[in-house]
Amino acid sequence: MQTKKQRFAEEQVLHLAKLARLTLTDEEINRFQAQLSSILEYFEKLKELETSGVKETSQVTGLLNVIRADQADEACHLQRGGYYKTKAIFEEVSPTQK
Amino acid sequence: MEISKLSLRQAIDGLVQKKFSAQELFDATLARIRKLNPKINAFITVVEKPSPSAGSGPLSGIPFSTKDIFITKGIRTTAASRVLENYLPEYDATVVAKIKEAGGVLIGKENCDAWGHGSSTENSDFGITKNPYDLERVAGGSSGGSAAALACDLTFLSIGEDTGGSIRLPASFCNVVGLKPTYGRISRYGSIAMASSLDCVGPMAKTVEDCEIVFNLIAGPDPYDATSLEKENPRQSKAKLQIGVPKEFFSSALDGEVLQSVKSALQKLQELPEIEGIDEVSLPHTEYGIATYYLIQTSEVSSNLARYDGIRYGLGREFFGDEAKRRIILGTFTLSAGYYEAYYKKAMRVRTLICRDFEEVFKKVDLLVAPVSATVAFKIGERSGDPLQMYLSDVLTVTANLAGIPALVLPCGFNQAGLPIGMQIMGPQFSEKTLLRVGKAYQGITDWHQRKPKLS
Amino acid sequence: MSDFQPIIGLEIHVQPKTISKMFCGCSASYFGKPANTQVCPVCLGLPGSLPVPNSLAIKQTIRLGLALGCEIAEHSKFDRKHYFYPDLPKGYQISQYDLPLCQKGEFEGVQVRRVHLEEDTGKLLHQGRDTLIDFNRCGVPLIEIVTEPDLYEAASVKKFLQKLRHLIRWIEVSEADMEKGSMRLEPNVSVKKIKNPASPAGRQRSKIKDPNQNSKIDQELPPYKVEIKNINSFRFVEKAINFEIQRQIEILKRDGMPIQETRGWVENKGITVSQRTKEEAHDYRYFPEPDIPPLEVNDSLIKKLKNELGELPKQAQARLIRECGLSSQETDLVSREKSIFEYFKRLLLEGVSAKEAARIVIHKPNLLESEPKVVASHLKAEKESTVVLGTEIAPIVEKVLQQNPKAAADFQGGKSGALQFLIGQVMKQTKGKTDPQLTSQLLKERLS
Repeated sequence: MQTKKQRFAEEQVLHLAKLARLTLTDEEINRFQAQLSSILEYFEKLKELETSGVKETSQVTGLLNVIRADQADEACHLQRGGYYKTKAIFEEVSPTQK
Repeated sequence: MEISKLSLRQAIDGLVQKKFSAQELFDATLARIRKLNPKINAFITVVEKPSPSAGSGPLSGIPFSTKDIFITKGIRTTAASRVLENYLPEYDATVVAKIKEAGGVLIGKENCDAWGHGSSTENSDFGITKNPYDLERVAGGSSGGSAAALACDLTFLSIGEDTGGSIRLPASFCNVVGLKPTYGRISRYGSIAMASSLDCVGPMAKTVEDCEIVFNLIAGPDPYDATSLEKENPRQSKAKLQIGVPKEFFSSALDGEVLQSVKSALQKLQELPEIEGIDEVSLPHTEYGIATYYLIQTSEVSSNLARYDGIRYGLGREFFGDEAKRRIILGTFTLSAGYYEAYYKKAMRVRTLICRDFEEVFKKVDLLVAPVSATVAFKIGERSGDPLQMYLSDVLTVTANLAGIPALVLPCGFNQAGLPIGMQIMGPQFSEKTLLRVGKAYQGITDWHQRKPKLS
Repeated sequence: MSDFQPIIGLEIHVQPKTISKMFCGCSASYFGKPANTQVCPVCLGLPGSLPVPNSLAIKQTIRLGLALGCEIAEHSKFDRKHYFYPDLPKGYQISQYDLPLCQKGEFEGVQVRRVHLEEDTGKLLHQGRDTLIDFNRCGVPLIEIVTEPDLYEAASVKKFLQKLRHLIRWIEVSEADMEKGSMRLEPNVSVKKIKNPASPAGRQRSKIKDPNQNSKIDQELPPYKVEIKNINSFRFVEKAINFEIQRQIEILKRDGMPIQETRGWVENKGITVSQRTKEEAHDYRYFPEPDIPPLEVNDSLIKKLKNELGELPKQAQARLIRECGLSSQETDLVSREKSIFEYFKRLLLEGVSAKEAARIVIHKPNLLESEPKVVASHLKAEKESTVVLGTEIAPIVEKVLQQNPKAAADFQGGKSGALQFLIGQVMKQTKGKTDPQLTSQLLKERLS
């Protein structure tokens, strides 16, 4: 008997979870694999539409050049002081220049 | 009459006329919350001791509440998720600040689907909100707590948020009024972001008149929100309006009683002097709305939830619930290298087609009237087993978010079992005044909105 | 002659001079401030916060792009770049991906691929088992300059950087101070085996590529590149790059292939060390920033900014040589800072000669605080009353005495008037530039 082709393979769910810094139990991986596969299958519906030449809409306001003057704003200031703490980072380095 | 059962308009008038004091109003509302909230679980946090009114304005002394995704200074804000179960913000959302400035007194933060992820308020880490009209049914989502609280007179106004129907669906399930404004009309600063290009902050209330009062107070551009704006609507003062009925919203999937109620509502609307006539119109890409919406939304969700790492506030990512995890993984996938073109970019293009549908239709008509949901409130647990089933609850609401247009939901009937049915009136961008005008007129000749659940 | 050819591309970050941060009104001067005292909901990435872009930072990016000969985008936008790191509060950095503000420029023979705008991250401090985070720097604007791999040796990189820094300071975009972090360098270094090292093309590579020369250089790039971080001062630029080049050559010599990775320069050891335990390509999942509307830069703004830039160092220096006849060393010194060059020009306007003006701005920097008018008039007065030194008067005195023996004898005979006459004669010879008292004294000494 042929097994139903899953749109999401287990390794893929794991890889995505890692990218998104989520830890999943085996049960979750299993469950999500099935659920996400069916959702992704549903998304395939969009392939029915011909969209070449159609511009993307990423914002519906039509606004452009919304900027603010370079000045201090005391109103939103939060006086914290002290450091935020997290477990030591040894392995990876930030992709951004320090 | 129990003063907490008054509408916002009546409460304001009552305070001005000194029929009762602000303290009495607050106490009455609080007493009612204590009595009824345990039955419906509308609130996550109740503010027992009101902060002294910041300002004195049109809402002086009026108890108000918000969906728990709005940042409230010094008052716990959880987004209904364990990740933020003890989060105490240090600033107020712009919307909250405006209401406080107008004299409003915060009485509570309402339950919702965690992070706004859901159509039933079953995804909350703080328990399900039950429909006051039938405790075995959902209140709708994601602003279920707001709708249920209003239905039971536990608040005078609530600020909700609608990304794919989250104000409108619960409003229609609970027999209250909800307005999803034009995208950008009300500042999102201080609203915990779900999907940035779709999130709309909006007022929920007992009547359209009440809704209008709140809308006028909170609408307007905000220097802290670069996507906020205000524009003139050229059709604002048009005397006679043409209504369009989009045929794709009236498919065979529609429950018979829902169809009946909306049809009757249309007949009533035609009686109004401001309504010219009714036309059938078409929004041909409606069937692609869910796929487009969920693709874009989950992508933006995965990005907006990236900041919750437990370092600066809240708990770690292991405290995310199932639905949040699902959406994050899905959104991470759709944005990832190799898939971005096929999924996110494709969805952005279909979004353009959906926007065009509305632009075309609004050349012919001024308003659209349609049902909000194919069904009345469904039973608790009925759709929670299958995420896709739950997503499909939004089929009639998502396209308004994709196009950024306003939609007003108001009660238009009940089914045989006594469950509320709502309708939505949609208009072109910045036509809120028109929607509210028509809604008020409709409520002038009907009394669906005055019915209350037996529970209360 | 080496069998190996280093190929170097640069990624340079520059912090533009702004009062506030890129997306919020917090102060952008974080240097030396107590931790987490310049933060707000936006730069801390608190729930519900939203970014609003700083107009000056955008302007500065365009100005820098123009100064580097770039094309300025008509349509631009911000994008979200996702990755998890404790110094990045939102879990994404707001940057620019496919529509940067500036592209395709050229500076000092090096092609500039792009110049874009983004926000900085917080700072990490390692303390035992903990990592401490300070977000004062988080959200500060950063202009990123990316060059093509057009450099072939460490010395060229240093020279290029010095000129770039000079330009950036000239147009007042940034202090560009590496030690203070307002200019940061990340070179990408690879090495390839030259197919025929003895060829003219092979010899050619050790110079900065001259775009005018028709070179037959093999443009194929090696299949890897190594990014070097943590070079915190100009002093170590050459050293770090040379170390890395050598390290890669050693691997290639053994027929190996250097790994594509990020390495950190360790200053006190003079080496680079790998900064990844295992190589993991980043999937940044870029998408357009939905919280910020796109940018449209119109022609008139570009024209305006270009005009306001004024003369760039290269043109200024060419003029100094051509019109003022200064040597190239003098030119470099006169144009070392724009303010100094401006002062030099003002001196010229006051009638000071180019050479004199150069002398002042090079050797008398303390005078730069005075008004050029004042300095100019002092110079004039000085010229007119230049005292001929005592050592120079003596031979003139001799000459005058020889030419006027009668007067000399008269003075020795007690006629005081003769002294006046002799002083007058000396004055005549020195065109009045002698101190009369000194002259009188010398004459008296001579004739006594």
